[in-house]
Amino acid sequence: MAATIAPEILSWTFRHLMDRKSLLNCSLVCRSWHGPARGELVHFLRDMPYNGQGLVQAIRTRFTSETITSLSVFAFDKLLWNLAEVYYHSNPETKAIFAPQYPPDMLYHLFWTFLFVDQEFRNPRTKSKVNSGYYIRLLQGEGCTYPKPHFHKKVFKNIFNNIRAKPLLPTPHLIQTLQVLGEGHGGGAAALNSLFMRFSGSLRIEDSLRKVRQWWRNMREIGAQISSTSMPPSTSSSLDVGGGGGGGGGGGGGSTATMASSTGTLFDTKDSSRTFDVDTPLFESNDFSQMPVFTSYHPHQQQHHETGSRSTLSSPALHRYSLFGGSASGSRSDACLHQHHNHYHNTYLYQHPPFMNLGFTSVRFGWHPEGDGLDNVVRLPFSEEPSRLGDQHRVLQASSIVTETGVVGGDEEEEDGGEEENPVVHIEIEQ
Amino acid sequence: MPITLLSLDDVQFKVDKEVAERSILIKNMIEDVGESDAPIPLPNVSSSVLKKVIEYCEHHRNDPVQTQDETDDPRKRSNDIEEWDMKFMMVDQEMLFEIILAANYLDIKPLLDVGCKTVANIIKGKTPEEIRKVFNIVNDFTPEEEAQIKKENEWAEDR
Repeated sequence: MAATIAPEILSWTFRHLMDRKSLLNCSLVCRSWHGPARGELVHFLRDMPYNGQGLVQAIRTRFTSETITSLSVFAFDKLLWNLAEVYYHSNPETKAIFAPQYPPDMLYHLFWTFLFVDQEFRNPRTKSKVNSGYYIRLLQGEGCTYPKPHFHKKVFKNIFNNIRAKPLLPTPHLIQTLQVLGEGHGGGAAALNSLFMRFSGSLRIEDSLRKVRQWWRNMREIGAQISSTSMPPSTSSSLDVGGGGGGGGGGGGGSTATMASSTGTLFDTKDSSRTFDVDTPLFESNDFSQMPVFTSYHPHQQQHHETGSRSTLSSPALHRYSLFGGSASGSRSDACLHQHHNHYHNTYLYQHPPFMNLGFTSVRFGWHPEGDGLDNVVRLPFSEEPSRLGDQHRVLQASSIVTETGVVGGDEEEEDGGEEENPVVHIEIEQ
Repeated sequence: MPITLLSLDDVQFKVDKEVAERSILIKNMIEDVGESDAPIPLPNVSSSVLKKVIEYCEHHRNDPVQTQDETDDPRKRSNDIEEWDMKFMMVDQEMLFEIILAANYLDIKPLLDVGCKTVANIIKGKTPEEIRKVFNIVNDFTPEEEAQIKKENEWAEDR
């Protein structure tokens, strides 16, 4: 009977699978199942592009699917926030893992740390790199909001080693972004602060915060050093960070995200049709010309269009910062409750469906950094802790601390291993 | 006011109007025809299946009506099945598919969802061969076709 059931009902059934592997298996069962399964697979990958992917794999997939010619820090910020949201919706299990926190908040910070590690090892001017022990302590230490039972230090170590072994970004975009930040724009400095605050919000609130401050101070110094060198004209001309060029939005706002897409195809409506054709092959893995690109046009971007920059990112950070009264001091945990759910409609629906040939791992069993061959799957217990709304204020509290104290720090030292009491962070800048 | 439903095998079922109207098909029929004592014929549903469907509608008679947007939104999609529904769906495979077909015919979206979720949960985690075995499906692909499909699926496959 299952073989003769109507394709529409089969489609509806497959829609409830919410699992890529199962959909692939269904497409191989029989002819009558093949079409509906393939049709649902396409829609599933569009709706949940990072389903079953590890965190590092997801960020790599995202960067691979984007052709990044230049990125401002706000574009990175928005891209990572969008990635965090889509990852969460692709893997609903993260809700239980991160309870009581809002998962995209936690993922967003984590993705940022990936970029920090990436730029750490891609920056030729940094002689001594932050080691895995420091990274682990930073994210897993006392007071950290990443649940220890679910984020074993091995997971972080693998992530760290994976990023160290293989760049996340094809070119050191983040370094260039920091370079612009270091050039002394008023908005840029505010942006750095806001970035730092958001980053630090999810880390250890007491002593880790001090380490993060030091780390960021060093990063800013690196940025300042790099700013004294020349940038490639092709990228420096299109980078735009800070309040100088923006159209309002306060200290942290006013930036214009500039990112060019390889396709230039505009996609402004969700394709709700769910048709399938047995004989029609799925789109090729690298053929993104068939895939949707999200875009929007904002009045304050006019000048960049005039000067040749292409803006293909929708609803930039300007909107978000305006929620914080222009101070860029709010926590994402708080803001997301109001703004990101609306923002989600702008960005989530218009994702590039990336190619999905890198494997899948259920988040239920924890994450593993793919591609480095270090470990396979790090299995973690499933969260059984109830969600407590009050704990969401921790990030806010951390941000408040930073707002009050400013960026301060002291010299610290770090040793590898991840369990020493007094870690050493030693970053030297090549003069 | 009770409504009389007439099954494929001429068995009559008297149900409350609000229960019968869980079916959009029946609701539209009542609206079109107006209130009448005449039984509503359901020529595609056997009495055994209709009995089960009525049992479901009785239990969910006070549930809010599901909107189309809710069910189509991938973010709201879930495989969770209520305990009562799960027990309700503990039937043999033939009855399970009959209920799904009846839910589709009678346009009872929540019942269709529960049925499809139940089948989806059976499918999940199984290989194509295991699925064929469970549902007694014959593999009608030629080896060449199967190889071609596997090749086409590679880009989305596990590494």
